[in-house]
Amino acid sequence: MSRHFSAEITDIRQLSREHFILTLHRPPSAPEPGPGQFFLIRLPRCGEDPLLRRPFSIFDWDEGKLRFFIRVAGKGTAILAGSGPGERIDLIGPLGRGYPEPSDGKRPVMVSGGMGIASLFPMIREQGKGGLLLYGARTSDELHLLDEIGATGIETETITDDGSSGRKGTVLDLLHDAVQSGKMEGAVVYGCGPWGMLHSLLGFLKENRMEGYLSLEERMACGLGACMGCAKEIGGRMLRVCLEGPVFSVSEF
Amino acid sequence: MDLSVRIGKIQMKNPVMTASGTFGYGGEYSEFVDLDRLGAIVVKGLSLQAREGNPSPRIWETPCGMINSIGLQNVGLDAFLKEKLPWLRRFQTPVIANILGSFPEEYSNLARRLDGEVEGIEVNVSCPNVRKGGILFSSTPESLKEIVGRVRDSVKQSTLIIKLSPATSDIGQDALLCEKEGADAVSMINTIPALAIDTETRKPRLSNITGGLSGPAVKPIALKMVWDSYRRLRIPIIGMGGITCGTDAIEFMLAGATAVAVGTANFINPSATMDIISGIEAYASEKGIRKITELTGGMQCS
Repeated sequence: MSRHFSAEITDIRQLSREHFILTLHRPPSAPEPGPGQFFLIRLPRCGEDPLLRRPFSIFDWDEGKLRFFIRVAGKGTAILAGSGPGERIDLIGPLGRGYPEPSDGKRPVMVSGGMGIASLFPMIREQGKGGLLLYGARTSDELHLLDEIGATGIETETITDDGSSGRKGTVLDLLHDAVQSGKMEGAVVYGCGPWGMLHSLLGFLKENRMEGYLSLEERMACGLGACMGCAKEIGGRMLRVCLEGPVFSVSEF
Repeated sequence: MDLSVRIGKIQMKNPVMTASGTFGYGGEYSEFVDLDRLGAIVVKGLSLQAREGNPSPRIWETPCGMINSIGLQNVGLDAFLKEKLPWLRRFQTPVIANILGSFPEEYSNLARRLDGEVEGIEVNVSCPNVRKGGILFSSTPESLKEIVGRVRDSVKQSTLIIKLSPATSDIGQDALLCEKEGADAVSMINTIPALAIDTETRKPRLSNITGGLSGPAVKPIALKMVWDSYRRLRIPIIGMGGITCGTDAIEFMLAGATAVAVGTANFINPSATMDIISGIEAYASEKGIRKITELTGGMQCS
């Protein structure tokens, strides 16, 4: 088993102009990831520019494949989106500390903003039945993968910033409602999304003394804890998102 | 074929070392690199006390390179001696500790306590002198001379290496000054001061505003600086700046380096150092080179 391996692209499925699912053939030598972990992907066909690998949360896997849900956000992700089946790419992973399983009797509540679903999907898949997903996006077009989510059997509530699907508002509004209706009794929260959303979620969880785990995003170089490039201030210390994270317990903040 | 080189008192089985700050304390890469196969391991820069470094964001990618401003986050000398160094001692490879400070005394204290504990001490002179309003120690010949003199007095057993900044009018002059003050070797180049700006927000890309540029983008600049210095020095040069493959390393040796250090390439390819050693071997065998030291300064100008 080696965490540095190469894998063949088997499919690139475009979900929208910006969003796609990258599917790779998982070689037998590639170790099994856990929910919330990530891989560093070296961009194909580009030599030394762009130079750095790109970190992506693992979206889904089985014995024969690895899937990543990716949004084109710049040059590197555009290169990935433009690659095709049959091409080989170089990966390092699985990396980082993922989401811990809920302790006995706790109800897992996944709070996802925008691309946060890319990191939370493995938790939905593994903990879906009996769990709750609060899923927010800017518009209805960005509420991706509702079919796959529905197939897990998880109770799901959606909300959009512009009201184009479901309610108008943010996942924090859904969270407040869930508390009102008693759905958060004995809950453990798993959150991923833009920093603004996570910041509000963190405040909410602290105020209500609730157990929770947040997955953070940061630009990275090595992904192995060596370069210190991805360190963020958490609880007064500079912690590496790649090694101590990307998932941090609310109690660490 | 003999790949061994000598830097001061350090006998290395090949010329490939790691560049400080890009290889952690060794353990981070042990899954991808046979640490026993490296010429030497240079660890993350150490200060007397642990440092938390700069706020995020700390890195920004640029064409064929990256800018970083980590702010010298490190575990501090005590934790290094207690936790990191004993682990590294499982391997045969020489260990070089990189040191940094805010005051001249911090450098001499670090050097004294590390002397004899590690094979080499590499001094990062591109740090702000807190007592002189943050001006870099390397920025004037007087302050460079003071630091080198102080660490020279403190280091009796280990090999003393001064790591030079490219932010100077004449790096060969700086290197010569280090030699005169008794340094056993110089390493060059540290990162090049750099800036990137987000035009949407008009804010700098890094929290510290400026940072240091590294990666293949800096290689031609580093090569020229090695060449400029080689012609004037007797002590060996450790060349670095954008080395990603065996032929990059060979270029540095032809320009005058005795050994080379691999930095940013570790981030792109975690086993870059191993590939570079193999690349040097392949080159030497293809060209029928018996001793790798033959290459040092071997650029043919006519």
